[in-house]
Amino acid sequence: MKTRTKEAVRALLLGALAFFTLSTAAEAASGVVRGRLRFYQNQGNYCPSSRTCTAARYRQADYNINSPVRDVKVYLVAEGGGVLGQGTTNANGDYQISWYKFTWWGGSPGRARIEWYGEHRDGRFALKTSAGGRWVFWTPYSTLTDGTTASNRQNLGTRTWGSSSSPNALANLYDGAVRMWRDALNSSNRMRNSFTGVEIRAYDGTTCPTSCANGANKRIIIDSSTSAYRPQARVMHEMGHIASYLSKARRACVDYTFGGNNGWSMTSQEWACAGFEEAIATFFGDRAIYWQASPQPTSCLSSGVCPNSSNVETSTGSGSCAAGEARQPITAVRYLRDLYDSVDETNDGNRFGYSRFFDALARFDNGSGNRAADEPWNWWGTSLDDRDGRSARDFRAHIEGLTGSSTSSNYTNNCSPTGD
Amino acid sequence: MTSVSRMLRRGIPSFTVAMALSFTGAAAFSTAPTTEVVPVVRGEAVVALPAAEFGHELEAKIVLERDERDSIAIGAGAELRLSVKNRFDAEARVTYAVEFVDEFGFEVDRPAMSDVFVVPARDSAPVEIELPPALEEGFYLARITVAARSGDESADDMIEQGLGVVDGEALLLTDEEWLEWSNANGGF
Amino acid sequence: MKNEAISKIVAPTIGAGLGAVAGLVLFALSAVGGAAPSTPPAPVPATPARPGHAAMVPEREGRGDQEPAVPAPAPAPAERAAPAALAERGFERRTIGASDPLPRDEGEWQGMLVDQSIRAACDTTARCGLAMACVEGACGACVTDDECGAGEACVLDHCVPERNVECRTRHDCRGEELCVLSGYSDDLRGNGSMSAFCRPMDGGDDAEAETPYVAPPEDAEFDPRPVRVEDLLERLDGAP
Repeated sequence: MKTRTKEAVRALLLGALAFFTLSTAAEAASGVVRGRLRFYQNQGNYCPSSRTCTAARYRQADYNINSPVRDVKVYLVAEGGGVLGQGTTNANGDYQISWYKFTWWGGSPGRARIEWYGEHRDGRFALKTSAGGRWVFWTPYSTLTDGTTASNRQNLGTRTWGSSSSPNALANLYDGAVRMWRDALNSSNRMRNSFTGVEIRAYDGTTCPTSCANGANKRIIIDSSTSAYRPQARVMHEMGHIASYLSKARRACVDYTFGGNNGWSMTSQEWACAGFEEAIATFFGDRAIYWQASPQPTSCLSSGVCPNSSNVETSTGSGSCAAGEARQPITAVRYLRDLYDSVDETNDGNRFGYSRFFDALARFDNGSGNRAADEPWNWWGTSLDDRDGRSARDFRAHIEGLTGSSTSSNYTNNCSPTGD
Repeated sequence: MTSVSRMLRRGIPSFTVAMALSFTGAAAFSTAPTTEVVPVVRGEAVVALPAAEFGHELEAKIVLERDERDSIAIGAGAELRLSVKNRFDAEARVTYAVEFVDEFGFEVDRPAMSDVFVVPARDSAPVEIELPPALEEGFYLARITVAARSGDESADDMIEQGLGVVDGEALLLTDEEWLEWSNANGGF
Repeated sequence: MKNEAISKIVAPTIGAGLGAVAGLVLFALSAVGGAAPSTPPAPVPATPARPGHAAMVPEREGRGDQEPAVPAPAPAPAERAAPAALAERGFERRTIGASDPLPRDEGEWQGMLVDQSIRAACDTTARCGLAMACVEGACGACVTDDECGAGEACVLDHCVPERNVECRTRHDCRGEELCVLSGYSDDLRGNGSMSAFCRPMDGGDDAEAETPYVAPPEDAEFDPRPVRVEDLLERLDGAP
């Protein structure tokens, strides 16, 4: 071979050797990690041990303990950035993640940590910042072990958010939403099909001083960290508003000024539209804590235990109703509760499944006629002209039409909620 | 005039009127919800909510109102100035508790409870919380919980006031700023 | 002479240079390690020991409701001093940007939209959780069955076991039914028991007896708060 050719061949071989040496120095590391996520449970509205908690889903035994962070998407994130793997937690807060990473010169895969962003694993809802970004719940970094497998996983341990001296409000808020999905809305096919991608923005007390919900945008705004500990009247109630909107899209009842008061309470007098809207959202939310056989379901705004006086199963009874009681939202709540529960069935023989209430809402026709979805509004949707429209009375017509059952006794035994 | 031109002379005006009527009718019959903003009177101010918004939610009958300042100088006498508002129609007996922790949840000071005091109906009372005197640079949380009884009724409220201490000053953080800047969202 | 010098110096240099370029490319790939969210590197705090149980407040001895709306709150200040002051001191924000869901045909089920803003690194589809496919080195939504693993089909952007696929779009279903996914399962792929099926709008699971309450595990230790609303109410009841 001529010298020049030999030299060229040698150069090429040297180059190839360099190439393969460098390329094999770039390796990949992989493995499987597992762990558990928990948070300190500080949400109020549990059923206290001093009461009968039959069919209660959230009880005193669940309060002020370390509870699992359930049903959330989790990510393994490398120190310095880069997502190495993803998974979800289960009902126990347990996760497992298969991960993969390029390494250099056969070095260790380095450190990584678990992050979660308050995103429900199946995309039902997600926590957001007030501007729509994502909150980062993070753990300290751990050194990854290369080569772990599904049968020999690396345990990253149990991590807990908050403590008895300092609960984490956001983790509590997330759990309230999980409970509302798992123990309430997930019972309805309509919600399984429609309740997707709901945003829960925390915190914004300027746009919504006491929290609010926008059905068309599928967005809830929670006003403050305080509200995170009052799930019934806040996140569960707001999710109830979204659910009622998704059952039947319509304009909101925007007039809460009946009788000169502003806003509402369970015992304030309201236009029938507003009263029913708040009642249905309250009823939907209460079911996350009290199921059908609950003898003492209570509903209130508190970060502690609801008082006995907030019982929504008891009724004043026909003939004993106070003046104006028909306009109180609690009257409509009691009517709805009576249709659902299996307690005190004298003259109260109905026991409708929770899913039926969403289907009854779906029966409201489009338009502003009687019994229609926009009955409180004028034809053009520019102003209110029937503030007692789309009431509990209208709902009664639709649930009776759906079930074929009369609810007359339930209605009159609960002071006949106002409506036309 | 040809038969075609006669037809056009009659037909075009008719067609035009028919189209105008149909467009007008379609617009009138449209049932798509508007995003009309309807003012709603709330208290002394008008709060406008879009028609698709649900949000006149329950408010507690006892409410803690925040210190509106941006920062407080650290040192002797430094205090948070809140107020408690009684929204019952009768006087209320009130008490509150104060906790101070750092961003990892460690106590900075022992929790303390106030004496019981009375707030007249629909009135307010000041709540002054002394800050621990020697706070080093970092993040802290003051949690103030209040409870009230008025007749047979009860109510409670709470504020979590985040503090970012830098250069001898405690910056009063919003709930979001507390989560954004401190280690409060760390799991250990 | 000159040609020999060129042969001895230039050619090997070119060869080694090609090898070096290849190595640098691989090094760059390893440094990237997969698409990442814009999470800034956070300061690493020392892991603190758990705080001990707070001392009980003296005089722990022994009730919430609603109210009509109240005056609108004071408007928020136009600019907050705190964020600028904290950023100046080197503290870092702990949020990331918005998610970026992969759009799906409006007529289809809008659940479980795949977030395109977060994509884990991968070498094979089998490595990906959340029923994703490994596409160009990152886990993400599948488009075709080929991108999924053996025995999996691509339905609604997810890899679903073929045996569990009843539908791919709502057109495979009747009337108002939607083709939906059952949700992620707990295995590493996240799809071991995932199914794609037609779900009607009406009805649901109303048999409550089938889902009894589950008490917390026995080792879940009760760790009461040092301050509880009940304690404050008891104080009110006990005071003269």
